Amino acid sequence: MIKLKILFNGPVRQLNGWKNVANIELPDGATGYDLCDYFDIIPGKTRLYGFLIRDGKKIKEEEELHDGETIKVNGKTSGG
Amino acid sequence: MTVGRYHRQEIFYPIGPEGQKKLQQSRVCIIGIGALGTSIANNLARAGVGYLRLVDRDIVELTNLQRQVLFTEKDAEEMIPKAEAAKAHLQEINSEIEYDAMVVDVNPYNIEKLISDVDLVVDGLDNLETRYLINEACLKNNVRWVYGGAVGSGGMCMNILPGEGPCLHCLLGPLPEDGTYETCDTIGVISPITNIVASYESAEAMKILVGSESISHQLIAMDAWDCYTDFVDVDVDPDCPVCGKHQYTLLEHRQKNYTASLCGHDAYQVTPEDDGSFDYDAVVAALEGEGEVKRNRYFTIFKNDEADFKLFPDGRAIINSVPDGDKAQQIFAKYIDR
Repeated sequence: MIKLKILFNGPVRQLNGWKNVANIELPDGATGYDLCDYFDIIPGKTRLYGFLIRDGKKIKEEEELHDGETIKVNGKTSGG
Repeated sequence: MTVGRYHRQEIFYPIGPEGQKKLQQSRVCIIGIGALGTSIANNLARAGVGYLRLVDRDIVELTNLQRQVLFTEKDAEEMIPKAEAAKAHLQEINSEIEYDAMVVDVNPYNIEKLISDVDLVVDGLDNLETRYLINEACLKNNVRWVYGGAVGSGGMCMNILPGEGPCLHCLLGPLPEDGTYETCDTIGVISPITNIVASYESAEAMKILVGSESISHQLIAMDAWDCYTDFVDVDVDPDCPVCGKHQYTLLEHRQKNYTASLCGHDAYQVTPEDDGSFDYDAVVAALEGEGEVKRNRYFTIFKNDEADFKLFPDGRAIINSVPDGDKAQQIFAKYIDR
């Protein structure tokens, strides 16, 4: 299993019960898609969800995640 | 010794007198004159950008005043179009620059003309669909644009520089379907975040216009309530249909009468193909006797038992109280496009 710290900032916190932080465990070899599954996020469909960020870089959901990483869940901002 | 109105900006080293001249010689199109757009227009007008094209289809309403900084209660009472109201107030702020207020819907027919003679496009919009259209038009025509968006207390901003970095499609993927993303009408928005995003967009616009080496090549993501700002690297997507494969699907999707739902309103907008044949006066005259007709400088309101719409001189109409776009098209065909 790998341990991950997930950060939800701003309105996207709704996807984590309005909490900013979640510490989760996923199986070895888990990808961004597995992270999304954990929070019932369907990329392209779930309201608010935009993309994942690791170490200050946007990553694709198919990328593998690693033990000890911090992943940010970012929204897509459509208004103005 | 007297100093000029731009003195504080000219003694700011990264701009200087040379940068100020460049700003004054620059032409910028701001698309969307709402919360973001009014703040951006305010910043760029005060900065002395020589020409501002202000593009918006809407009319000032009371609910706008919480965050749309250029408008007043009088504008809302008199139902002034946002682009016209913004121009009037900006002229009182800086009368030395040129403004062009365009009360039009931005669509595949007119977007390339709107951006054809400007140095930069700045995003003041409230919806993703039009942003994706701007992305295609700017990429196709090699025009730089600044994306910015806000919802709730969060926002994002990114420069989109054709040939130099990722585009909006690289960042957000395919255009999400209607109803799969939150808007200011569904979860609200607070004025501090729109001002912050607009300020970043304005600063990036100024940097691009003066040719600064400090132009941001990252996504700037922030939240005013949670107090954070992130600077995120975004790669060019080699499979991107827009900047990679030069496919302009939205730009080429032209319908005879283009229909769009208006977020937060029980209304649809129908925009006819601009073939130069629309005769506003004749259409309004024909409406007389079929219902109640009220006309002002900017639009005509028509109401009877069947139809309730606002008709604009450019031929587009906002059809109120209809369940779907098909019904809006029927009313448009019966009363306007006869």
